[in-house]
Amino acid sequence: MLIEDPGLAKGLLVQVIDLQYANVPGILEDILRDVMTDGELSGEDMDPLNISSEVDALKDTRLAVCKIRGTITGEKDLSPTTSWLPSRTSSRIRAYPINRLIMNGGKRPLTVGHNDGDPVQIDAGGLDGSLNIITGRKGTGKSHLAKLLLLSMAGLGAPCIVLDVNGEYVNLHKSRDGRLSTSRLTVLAPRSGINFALAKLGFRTMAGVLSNALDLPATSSKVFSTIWRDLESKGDLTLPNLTQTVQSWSCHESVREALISRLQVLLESGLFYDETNPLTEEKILHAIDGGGILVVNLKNQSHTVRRIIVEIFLGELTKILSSNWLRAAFLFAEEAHLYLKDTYWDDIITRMRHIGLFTTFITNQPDTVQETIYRQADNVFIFNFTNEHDIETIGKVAKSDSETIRSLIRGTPARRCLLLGNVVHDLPLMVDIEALDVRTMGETRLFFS
Amino acid sequence: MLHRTQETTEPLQQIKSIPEVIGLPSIPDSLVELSTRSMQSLQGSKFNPRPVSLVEMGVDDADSEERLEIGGSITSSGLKRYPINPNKEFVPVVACDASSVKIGETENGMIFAIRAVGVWRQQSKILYTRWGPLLFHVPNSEDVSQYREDESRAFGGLSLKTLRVLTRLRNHVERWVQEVLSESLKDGILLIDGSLTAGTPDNPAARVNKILATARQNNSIVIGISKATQLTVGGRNILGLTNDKDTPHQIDISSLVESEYPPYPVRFLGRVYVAKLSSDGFLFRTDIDRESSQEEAQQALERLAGTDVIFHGYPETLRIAHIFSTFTANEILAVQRFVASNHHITLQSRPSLRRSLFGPFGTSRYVV
Repeated sequence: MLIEDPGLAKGLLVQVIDLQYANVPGILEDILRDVMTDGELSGEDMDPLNISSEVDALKDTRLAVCKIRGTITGEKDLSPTTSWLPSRTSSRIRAYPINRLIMNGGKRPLTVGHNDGDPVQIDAGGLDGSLNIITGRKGTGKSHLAKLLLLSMAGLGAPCIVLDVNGEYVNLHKSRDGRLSTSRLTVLAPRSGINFALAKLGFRTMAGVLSNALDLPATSSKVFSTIWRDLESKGDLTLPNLTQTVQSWSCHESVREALISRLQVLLESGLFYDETNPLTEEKILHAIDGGGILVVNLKNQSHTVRRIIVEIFLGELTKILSSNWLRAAFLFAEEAHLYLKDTYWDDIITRMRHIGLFTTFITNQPDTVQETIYRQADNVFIFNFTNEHDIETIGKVAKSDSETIRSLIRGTPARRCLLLGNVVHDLPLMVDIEALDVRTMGETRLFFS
Repeated sequence: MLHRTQETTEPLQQIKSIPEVIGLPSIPDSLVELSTRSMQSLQGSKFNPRPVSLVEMGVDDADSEERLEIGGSITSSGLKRYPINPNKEFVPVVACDASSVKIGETENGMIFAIRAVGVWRQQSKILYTRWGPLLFHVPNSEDVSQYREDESRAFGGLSLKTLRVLTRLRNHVERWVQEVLSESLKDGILLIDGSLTAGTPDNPAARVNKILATARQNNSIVIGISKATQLTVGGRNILGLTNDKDTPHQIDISSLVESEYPPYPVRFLGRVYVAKLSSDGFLFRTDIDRESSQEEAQQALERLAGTDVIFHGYPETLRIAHIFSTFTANEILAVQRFVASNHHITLQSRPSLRRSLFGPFGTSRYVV
């Protein structure tokens, strides 16, 4: 709504964040009297002026709780200035159309849904270079929005990678009735496209896998480094050779044990089953360049295997982006706490963002995402929450005040989302998310179906 | 804080009923016209709505009573207490009440709203009829030219200087409702809020006499119950003449009152009693048509105590009439809204002198 002060030729843009019954004096007495006439007492009013209709109107009077969002000068110029107050006596209040503020979509319009019947288009540029969070209670539509953004970004030519914990993105290229869409989707899974070779991955990636995904102690890492250099110089770098070398290497027994146990996990993971034909950076690049979607299916994988895969993929993406083979890529990470080591969160929002990896975290457990992520998130998409603890966690988002978030997300129906951040020019906006004609495969499997 | 446990002489289930319309007449055209004409003078003027507060509503239900000191004491005067034995034989009980409230101030006067209610306890149901609210714009200066001559006489000229005009308007409405109810009620008890003392310009005796006579013709009896009275006996308010443990009873103090009261102009049109209608109840000054005999008055009180629900000594029917006639803060706001939207006036907020002078300490001296 706009509180216009004609004297100053400008208006204060305010957003209704809550509707309550107005605390009209004497309302309790009225209600008590109404209760008396509810079945026990009846009668008639001879009310020639029809004042009773005015009383009824007052009883239903609503109080709109608003937050000041900025100043509108002229018809469209919005500035974040709020350091003035309109006159209480001469100002008038009118509804201000949302489409004047954010629904133009900018240069790269991306339709996300509807607000009060009007389509809402955000500028995809608002997701570029950004750290995004999609969160909400289970079943409220998080994955749905993630898929919508993913397909839309890919449609605009953006390279996208999905870390798919539940295997719900693998059919995104198919409509509900089985028709294939134009989306270029590549699905990889262990023993189904995911197959690495030590030599191709390189020391840095493998050292990262051992220390970050498999918690190899620092002392053992040093021995591993020596063995790696030795084998690399001989041009004989495979996982079986590496294992064999460690077994015969002159080192402390505990170091050997540590290395052998980790290499055994790698062997059993099935991720290195054919090192002659591995997945390379080139293949990854080919899958995502020009608007392709690469889905890394982590469904039915152990916690350890997930962490290994993610570690390797992040390493490979770092190589691709650092080599400038790709300007940037968009990573969609579902329930990242299941496969991302604590130390990686900061890495993702700092180092990886600077080399062009822009991450969208999707989670129904907001407390699993580190507080620093909420503070640095550029865009936050929040679906319904009822749990106080979850709401408190979400309230730490820097893009809005906690009162706005608390008021707006309570009681919202499924698929209705609160958009915060760059994509809505920092004007919190409720949107009913657009339906998608794709096979989501994300529904919970039921017994009584 | 006073706390009493409610004791009812009749089960409340008796109240349950099927809605019905009593079929009483609507507000007389002359009153509606008077209201309309007074409000027409508002067009285009400035209106300062009264602040609405729950603490101090200032609703006037005409509870002020005549002040009279009666010397001596009840025992020295030989007055007797007569027990009231509730008689369960059903009698229709009808009660009425009226309220007025100030809505706001204009440049040259004040706007008031008046409403009256009639409540009818029948054998298995309670019905009510509400008349109003009617709005009256009463100018500060005497300007009788805008009213018809007969109305001007009836209300003594609409001068606001003493606010008595308002009292007369409200009395006029209330008496009209009492007339309507006395005509409609057969073989019943008509309860009115206040005494049966009349004879002042605000409260002409002829009109009260007419109501009493009509009720008599219909084999009904009029009982006036006062929530407040200034009558004192031996320096003690008559309402303190008994204690909580007393069983229901009445004391006829008519002779005491009449001997002490000046004979003119005030006329006592009823026998004056101090009555306690239930064991746990308060005492109330109770006036009963003086044309009825002592036995008839006693019988009427006993039938009232046996038929009506007596809440802290006060008849429920009259209590409902009071509740339904009283203006709530919300209703005052609604009337202000109606006035603002229907009479093309400019709302104006007059600065509060107390607030301006004393800031946050500019409240009333007495805070409830």
